[in-house]
Amino acid sequence: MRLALLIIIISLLLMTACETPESLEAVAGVDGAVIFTSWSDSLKGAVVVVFDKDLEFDRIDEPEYKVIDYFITYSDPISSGTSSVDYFIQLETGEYQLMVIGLLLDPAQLLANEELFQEIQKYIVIPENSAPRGIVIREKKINEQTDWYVQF
Amino acid sequence: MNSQIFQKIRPWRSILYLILLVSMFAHSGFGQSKGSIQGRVTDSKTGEGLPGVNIHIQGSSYGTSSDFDGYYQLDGLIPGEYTLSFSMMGYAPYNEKNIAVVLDIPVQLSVQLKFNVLASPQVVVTSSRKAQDILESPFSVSAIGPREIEAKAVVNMIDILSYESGVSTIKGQLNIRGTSGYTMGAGTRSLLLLDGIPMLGSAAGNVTWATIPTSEVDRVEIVKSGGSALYGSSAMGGVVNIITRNAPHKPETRISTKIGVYSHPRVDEWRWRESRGLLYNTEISHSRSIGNHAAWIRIQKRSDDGFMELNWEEAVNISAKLKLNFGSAHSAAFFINILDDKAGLTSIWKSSANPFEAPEGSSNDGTQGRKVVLNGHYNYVYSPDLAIKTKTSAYWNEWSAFGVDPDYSNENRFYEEVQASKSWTKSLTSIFGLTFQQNNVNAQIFGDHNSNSFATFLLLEKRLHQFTLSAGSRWETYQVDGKRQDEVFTPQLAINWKPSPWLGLRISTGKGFRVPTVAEMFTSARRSIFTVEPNPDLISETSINREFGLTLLAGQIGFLDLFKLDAAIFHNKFENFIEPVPNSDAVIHFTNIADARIMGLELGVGLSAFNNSVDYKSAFTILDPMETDTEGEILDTLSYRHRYHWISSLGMHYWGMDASFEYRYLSRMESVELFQENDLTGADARVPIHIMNVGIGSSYQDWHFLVRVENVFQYYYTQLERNIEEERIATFTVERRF
Repeated sequence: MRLALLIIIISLLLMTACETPESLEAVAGVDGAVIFTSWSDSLKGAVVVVFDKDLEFDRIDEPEYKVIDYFITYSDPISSGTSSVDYFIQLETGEYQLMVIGLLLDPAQLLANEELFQEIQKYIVIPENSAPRGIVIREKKINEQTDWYVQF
Repeated sequence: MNSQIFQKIRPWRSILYLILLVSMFAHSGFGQSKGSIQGRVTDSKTGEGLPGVNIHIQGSSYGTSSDFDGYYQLDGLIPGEYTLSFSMMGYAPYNEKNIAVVLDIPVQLSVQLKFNVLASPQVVVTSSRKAQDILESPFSVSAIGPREIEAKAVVNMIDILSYESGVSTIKGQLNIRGTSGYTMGAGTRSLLLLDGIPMLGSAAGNVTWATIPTSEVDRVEIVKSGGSALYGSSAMGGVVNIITRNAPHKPETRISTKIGVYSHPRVDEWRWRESRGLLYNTEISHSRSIGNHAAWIRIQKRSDDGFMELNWEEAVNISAKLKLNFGSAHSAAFFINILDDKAGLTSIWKSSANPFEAPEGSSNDGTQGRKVVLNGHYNYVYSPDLAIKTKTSAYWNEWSAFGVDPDYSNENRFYEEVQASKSWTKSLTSIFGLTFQQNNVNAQIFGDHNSNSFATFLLLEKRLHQFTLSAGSRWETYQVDGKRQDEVFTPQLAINWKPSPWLGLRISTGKGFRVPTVAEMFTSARRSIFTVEPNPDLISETSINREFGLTLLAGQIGFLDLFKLDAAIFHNKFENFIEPVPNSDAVIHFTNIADARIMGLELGVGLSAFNNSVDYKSAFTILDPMETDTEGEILDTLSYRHRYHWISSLGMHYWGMDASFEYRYLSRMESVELFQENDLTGADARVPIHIMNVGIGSSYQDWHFLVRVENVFQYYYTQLERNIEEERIATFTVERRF
């Protein structure tokens, strides 16, 4: 009886504890830095935007398309001159496009109101020499080849 | 300031309480001839005297405790018939009935208590502000004894509380049955008491767990239902009362060292430092008697690298307690705690790819501070029917943050309480008192503010055969910056039915309230991209708490030495619920959201078997936490609550060795405020919590050794968004007592 009780109790504890399929695990994504070589006073922040590989950026505000994720530079303010911000965006395995844009509204507003992305064209400035870059994300791998030098 | 407060009290209430106070003394037995009971309490197996046994006369507040050799004496008893209760942690309680006390001839009564490892204290003091059989408690109460505390050798009391039924913590914020959620450390609905004195910070109403001298704690009592009628603001969701030990009469010195080693992250990509993080905790304490008095002093030094980059901490903590005994009628106690600490500070991880690292540029962020707590108790047993207690507390806190966002805060708090316990007859008792609290805050993010509160409380308890009826109320008024904010009346009513010596059923209802803290009203700060702005228009939140529960406590059934079952159904309805809510500009205000309700059930079992060689405890709590409109229609799930909570622990004691297993499960949080899950990327995923700890210990002569591994399976999760919790740590503790 004693042994049976102990075995039952320990088994119950181990069964529940050993099943850990949902623990947070390594993630995939894109990692890099945005280096600002110049900054416009009219800007409130900058965003690294991830969107579908088949999407043209000037159609991003069309309802059928969706920004997959974005990283907002939290540095406030980004002073004129050279400044650098590290970023990381978690992504599932797949192919995407990346782009850096300048924001004319407070980054916090964008974060709190994701629907603003549907009319993002109103609030952005596209830096010179900035064009979307395609990236490939592999399972549990971080793509680290994505630094940006941008000039607003 | 006091005079301003008293002027605002309605005159008739003051007169009523004055009349009551005078009538107490008029009916007391002062000046009458007295008898006494004396004897010795011993262990039934070893025959050795048991020190520190609680001995009290049932139905009264009169009692004493045994000395180091187990001897006790109760003087000043009016001739009559008494029932004497003996209780001690780890021993089955014992009642001696029909003791006839006569004039001038001491009654000799020696008893033997039976050792029982699991036995939580059968007598609790928090739910009714007096010693009470746990089966007769009007509310759900659980208790943690010194054996459980010692078995884990934890540095922080929160690591003990997290393995209690219905109790969870988020970033050090205490949650009893989900009432608090996470409020950014500002405001709590669970009151922390140290020896019955409130220990919440004066600005944010938060808890500094490091000020609790864990190794000197005798027991912890957790009242899981609204306690505002007796304890006021912040007790609306429950009360945790941490009771420190009194020094034994025999001199004792303890030296303890704990060394811990953090594992590297299980996920290779998350590895962030070359060598493993270490934890050192060294404590030296000495206790002794000084004539009739007793004292202990404890010095603790702690150094912790932490499991993540800015989780490091260094602290020196000195605490001491002096217990003064002036005969059987007068006693006093003084407690002091001085904490100097320095710690890293972070509010968010670097990224989900580097969850153990701090954001770029924040590696020098940290805080340092000094906190001083000074508590005093004075007890006067005027007669066996009437006892008066006063509690006085002063608290100072100097705190500053350094790094990217320098900050500072200076706080102080003064608390005074006078409580009288009066037994009118053997079946009718009352407890009433006054409290006053003054808070002063000068902080960069709050500004310069003061607040104070004044309260009176009254609890009547009537026994009718197997029933105990209790009715209580508290009236409280509080001011902020000299302006009266609110005046609250909080009644409560409870019935307990104890149809047999092993079963108690209870039903209760009461009103709770909580006044907003200075932090909730006046915080003006920016963290990451979030801005917190003041809301001085906040009003106090109130609740109606209802609970039905039963406790079954039986012993000696086959191989079972003890079996305990506790079940409760509860429903808490809140009005003007205060929560931090971000608006469409990501600006957070502490806001009175419409209403809320949290209902649920809790079921717990505990057993001790095979001559106390095996202990098992398990409890399951289900919550349904919802935000509602004023009509009760459900609007949303309340943030930062776990719907399901299961704790389980097993202890085995064989061949001089102790082994323990603990398991904790909390279901995935259904709702958070700041960062929502992104289904397209998997970012900000929320997962359930499964944590398992194991430990093995052994004693040899004066030495005790303990090896423990916490979070054995390196399970990773977040509670507050973008903050990873826990890493596996293996600790080795060695202690010598002599």
